[in-house]
Amino acid sequence: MDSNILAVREFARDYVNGGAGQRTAERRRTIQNAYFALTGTQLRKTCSTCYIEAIFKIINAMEKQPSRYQLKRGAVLFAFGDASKTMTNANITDELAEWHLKNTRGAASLFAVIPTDSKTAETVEMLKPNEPAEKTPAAMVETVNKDVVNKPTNKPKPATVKKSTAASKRRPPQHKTKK
Amino acid sequence: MATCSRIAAEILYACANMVAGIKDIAYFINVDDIDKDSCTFDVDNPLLLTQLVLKATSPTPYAYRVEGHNYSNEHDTALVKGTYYNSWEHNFRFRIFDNSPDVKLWINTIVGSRFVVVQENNFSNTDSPAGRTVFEVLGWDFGLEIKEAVRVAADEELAGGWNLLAGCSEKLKESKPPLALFVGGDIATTRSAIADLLE
Repeated sequence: MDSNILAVREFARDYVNGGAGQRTAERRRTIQNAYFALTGTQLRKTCSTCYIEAIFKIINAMEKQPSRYQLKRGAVLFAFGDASKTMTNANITDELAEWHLKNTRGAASLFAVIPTDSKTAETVEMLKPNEPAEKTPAAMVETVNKDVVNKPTNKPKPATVKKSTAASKRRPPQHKTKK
Repeated sequence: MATCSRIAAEILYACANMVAGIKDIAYFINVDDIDKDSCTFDVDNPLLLTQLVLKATSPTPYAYRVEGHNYSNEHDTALVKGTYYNSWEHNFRFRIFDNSPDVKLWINTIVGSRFVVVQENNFSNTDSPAGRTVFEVLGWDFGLEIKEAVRVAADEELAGGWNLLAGCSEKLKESKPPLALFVGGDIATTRSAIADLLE
């Protein structure tokens, strides 16, 4: 873990309480560096409480179990009638993300990061509009195999496009538009 | 004359009094950062945005909070009647109570930007689901631009702060009135979605 983040965790309580000599320029620099290490963005310093807000952000981020999945900013996934399934980047977990990828249609497009070893997104992509979302990949494979077995082998070949015949020359193509 | 839409509902008087004005906090988003392919609208109402999502690009795009003071943010919208097509003007006036180099740099940057504004109305309807009138999105089609940026050093009201007006381009106006933003079927989820847009 970044040494600046560790340092911030150590002096966070003193800094927030704001005793004499606690809010030094050196500590502010440490907070800035820790914030950058954690978020990849520079800390905005235009407000009076920016450093304290940054400390809370750093501490909360360290306490949260990191998820391998990440939603696009602002995206919310929810299940009708089940508030416990509502998911944003603030409460995302691997289990919840995988549940939505399996059960919520179109969820994959709202993810910014899906681990490469995740098969759940592919499952959703394979589903047809009329199929139940709970269908497992194994069941789908079975359906596909059944279709292949039931397919008549002596099916006539699809008609090829014929070249223009004498009849088609006589009758011009009909248009649907009304005059 | 060919008309493209017909009136299909009644408007009944809602006895709850409206509350004027908007909140002091608004959210600015660069219009190019919005992932419009992933954003969704209500199936029955194209003016109700049900998912506002930013692109997953690097550097990570964010919404930026602009905080006013004592009802310093103002909004108005109006129909612009055209010969063949109608359009809408969206205006957002906001004031900045500072003149630091950081603020001046911010103003100088936003003058060259196009951005969407998410504002919070004081009025919240009580119809179920409650809260659909709270958040509005201005400049969805093209984004707004800064049309006025004025600082009068001796101004008594602002005490030397900045007075800015964001509005539609002179050429291209919006095709719709401001959109309502309502995510996940309740106002709490909408607020958490907006919080997720922030840095």
